[in-house]
Amino acid sequence: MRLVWKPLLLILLLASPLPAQVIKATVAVDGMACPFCGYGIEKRLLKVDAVEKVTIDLVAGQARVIAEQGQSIDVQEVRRAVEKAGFTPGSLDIEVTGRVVAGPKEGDLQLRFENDEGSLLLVDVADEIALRLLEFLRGDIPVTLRGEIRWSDAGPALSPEHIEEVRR
Amino acid sequence: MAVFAVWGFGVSLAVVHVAAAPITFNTALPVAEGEGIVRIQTRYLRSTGDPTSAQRKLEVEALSLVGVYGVTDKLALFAILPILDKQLALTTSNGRKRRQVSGLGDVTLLGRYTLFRRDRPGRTFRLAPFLGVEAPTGEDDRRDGLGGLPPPLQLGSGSWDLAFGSVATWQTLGWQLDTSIAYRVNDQANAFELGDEARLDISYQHRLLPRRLKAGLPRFLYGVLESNLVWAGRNRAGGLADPDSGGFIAYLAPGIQLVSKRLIVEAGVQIPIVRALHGAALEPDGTAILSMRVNW
Repeated sequence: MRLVWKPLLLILLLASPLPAQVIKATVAVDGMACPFCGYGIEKRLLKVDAVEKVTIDLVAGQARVIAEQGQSIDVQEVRRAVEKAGFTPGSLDIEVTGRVVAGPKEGDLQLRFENDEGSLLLVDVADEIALRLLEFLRGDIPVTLRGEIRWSDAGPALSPEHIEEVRR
Repeated sequence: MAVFAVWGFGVSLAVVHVAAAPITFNTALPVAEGEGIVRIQTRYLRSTGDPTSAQRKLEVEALSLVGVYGVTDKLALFAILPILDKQLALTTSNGRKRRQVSGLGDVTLLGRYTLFRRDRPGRTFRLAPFLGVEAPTGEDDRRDGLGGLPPPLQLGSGSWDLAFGSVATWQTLGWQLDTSIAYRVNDQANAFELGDEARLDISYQHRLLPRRLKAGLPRFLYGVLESNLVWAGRNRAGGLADPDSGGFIAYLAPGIQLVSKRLIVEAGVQIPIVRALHGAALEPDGTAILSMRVNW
């Protein structure tokens, strides 16, 4: 199925300003085992640009950040904030809005950020999700994706697990 | 010099600790980069075990202000500012006398570096060596009606003293175990040198409440049991060792600790269970500790 949708992307390339916003992120924090330490993480995360609210869950071993209205959170900064607090960041799940565009390589998809300030490559896309992404790509419809960030030398990429149309 | 030999069982090394930590010594838990923690600790120490006819009674009240700053995620700097009140009562040929001094003591600056850490969900192990220096900021030439106060009763030592060691911490959501080994090298000033001090400290903290954790950052109530093994060398005055100073003391220190995300309030008592002191060195009865830490 993957082979079917990839060639279609070549035909459907669009070039227009495309917003993308990371509006929520949940990062696993290894090593966090008391509330006093948890607050150190909360303080660091509140210093990340565009973060409005931080919720720490000690039992789940997670920190959740929510962006200010209309702002986007830099996922690399979230990870760095956990490290600066003296802990080890684990998996990072995000909720991101944007428009699906073709990626830099044939068959790739990505969400591009507003004013061309960046993009988020979509990787490890399940067939079902891929087909829906193509629909949004064709219609130039803003979407919300939820999934886990995958890290590589090229930077963060998103493995989307859930997709839905942005309701305005 | 035997009169004040108990002071060798230091107050200063024991106050350097932050984060969710033991009550009587340090921890290896981190201080976030660019963030600070403030600690206010009060200690009351009393020593009455005097085998001589002087029937000495030493009381020390110490208020320590500790500021901690995370320079990086691994390096934390500590500044410890002690305010001391020392009172010694003793029987002389002219009756019972009291000698008393109060004011700023010697300030300690200390750095702690996380050399190793192993983080897992809900648990961590860390090892952090530390190195510190105690600056002679306290007055060391106070006098009273009986003349100049003996060096150990002065507010400051007059010397630059070095402290170093290492602390290891295992922490889970249910319990925490800390152990620290430390050594303090005391230098000479005013022809007097306090004996060096070595410590081995162990602390076990068990979460008593809540029994079942809920989501978020719930408050913890820890029951704490600590042990402090302290060895002190003989003091030296005029180049001669004081036979009535130094020795070994083992303390058991039960305590309680309430930990929230911004605040820790704790209380403990150090009870000497072994006192093997040299000669007529004054024996401590115990130390009461009450302190508060604020996550700034």
